[in-house]
Amino acid sequence: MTHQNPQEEEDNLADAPPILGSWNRMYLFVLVLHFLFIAALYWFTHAYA
Amino acid sequence: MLGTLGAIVLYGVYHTRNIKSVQSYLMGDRDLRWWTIGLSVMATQASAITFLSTPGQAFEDGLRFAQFYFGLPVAMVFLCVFVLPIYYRLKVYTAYEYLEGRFDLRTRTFTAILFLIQRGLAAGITIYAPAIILSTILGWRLNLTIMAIGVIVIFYTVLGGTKAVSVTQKQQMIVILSGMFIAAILLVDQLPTGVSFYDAVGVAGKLGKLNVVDFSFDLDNRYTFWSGMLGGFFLFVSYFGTDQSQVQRYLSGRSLSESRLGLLFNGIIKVPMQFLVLFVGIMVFVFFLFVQAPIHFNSANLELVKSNPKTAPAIDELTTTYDQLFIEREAAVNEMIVALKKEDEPRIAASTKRVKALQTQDAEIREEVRTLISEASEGAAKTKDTDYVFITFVINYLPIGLVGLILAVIFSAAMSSTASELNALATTTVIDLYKRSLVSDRDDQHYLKASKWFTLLWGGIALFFAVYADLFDNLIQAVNIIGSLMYGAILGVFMVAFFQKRIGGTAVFTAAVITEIVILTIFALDHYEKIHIAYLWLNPIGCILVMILAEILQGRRVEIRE
Repeated sequence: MTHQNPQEEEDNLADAPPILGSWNRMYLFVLVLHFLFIAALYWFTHAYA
Repeated sequence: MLGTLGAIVLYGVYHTRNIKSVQSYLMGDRDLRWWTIGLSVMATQASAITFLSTPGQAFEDGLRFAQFYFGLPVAMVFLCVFVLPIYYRLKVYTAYEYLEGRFDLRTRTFTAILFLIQRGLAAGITIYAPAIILSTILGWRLNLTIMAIGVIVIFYTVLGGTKAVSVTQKQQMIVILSGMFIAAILLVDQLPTGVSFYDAVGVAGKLGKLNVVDFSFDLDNRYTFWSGMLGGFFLFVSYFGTDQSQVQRYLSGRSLSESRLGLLFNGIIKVPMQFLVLFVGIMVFVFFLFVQAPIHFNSANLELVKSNPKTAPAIDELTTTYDQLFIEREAAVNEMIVALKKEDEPRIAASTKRVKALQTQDAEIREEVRTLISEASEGAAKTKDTDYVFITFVINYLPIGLVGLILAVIFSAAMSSTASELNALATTTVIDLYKRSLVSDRDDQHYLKASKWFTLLWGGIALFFAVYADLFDNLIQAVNIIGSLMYGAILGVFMVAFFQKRIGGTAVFTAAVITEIVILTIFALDHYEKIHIAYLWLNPIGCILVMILAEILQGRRVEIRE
């Protein structure tokens, strides 16, 4: 049985994402989008209060 | 409606006609693309009651419920980074299978049985809850409505397994999203002449209905940014990471990348979708400021009060007051719109105050009606009517073609979430119990047949429970409560498995049992109003407590051995 470290194993399992080049950038993209949406909702709450 | 639903089911059956192995049946050959996974994950979570209740919740309480989902995108990222690679590396069929390799068979079997009890009962409620509302409003027989949903779901889930569930969910989710979007557009179109979308939003905002984000930190407040972000994060990591009905959706992906993209897609779409559904409720609220709403939205309850000689005179009197109140409020709202258009601040403030005062009177009348319903039914009827708000609007005010589409949305949602539940129940029964501990030496065809029979069995149990659910009213509440009380501890067990590598089965098992006792104590103290903690906080408390206790208990075991 060969031993790989977790990162090597993961590299074997997952291809690069179709956009943005790396998974870390994909995650950052999702989180930034989410927080921008919350910021928009916060503005919405106050703009019409 | 029938055409849409029939086409989806036939498509699912046709698409999965060549299922030949248990791997195909339970894991769908692991060949699904990310968009199918993403839509399937969303469809599993969104039950019919989501689309019936959520607009009603916004109608009554505004948009703040959207915060409940704030932790979801963060949870999706967490699962993609830490959990999915582990499941993929080990090529597991179920989440609980992983626990045997990490701890022992006892922990795997225990968590699998917990899941089966909780989901087995919940599957019945997933069918029953929308059926009771649809049958009341549409005048259909309750058992017929339950059968209409249940038999179709069982049919295609038994025939096609996981792949049938996922491919039908894709179509169902498209129907759901487009149906709600069209409903939102038509709602705006139904506003009276002279009232624009901008006016409607302005009125809703002034009446405190657009309260989406609340940054106050209050443990007793169920929906704030913090409860949604922190409590919601733990809840959604637990639900999507350890509940087999969700795990099975993304484990049937073609690769780790496809599964990750599916979950991230869910993370991006879910919060805006919930916002849209809630916003539909806000537009219904504004619509009923100009068109008189029923004094109570559950027509069956209203009939009960009117037909009872003791309560009939009181309801007549209340109705007269309610009619007069509507005329006064409509005039005040029109005054408010004129003031908003002219940006006349003193006039806006005065008219807003007037409408709010009339809204308070409206709420008082509705509360009196609820008291009458309790009296007429001798406490037997459920007096909360917010679940009936949206469907009342749909049936009475939307064009007939769109009524069919919205009904298709609700039936699709009921079927999609039930299908996932049945599929996951059968998989867990076969993989974690039947094949692992009971009959472990048979060929693939035997387990394929067993999987189909167990799907049928769980479908039968769900239908039985749905048909007789009204006899077990307290049990339904208990099932819902048990679900929310267990998620934290179950997540804690998985967190220990993922991150606390030196901890063994005995320590984590003991920690989970102690944590459940603590969580139940907190819940009881909250129930009897000795302390005040909103239920979302029980998820992080449960999870963190298991992790800490497991660490302490493992330390003690090492000390004792030394």
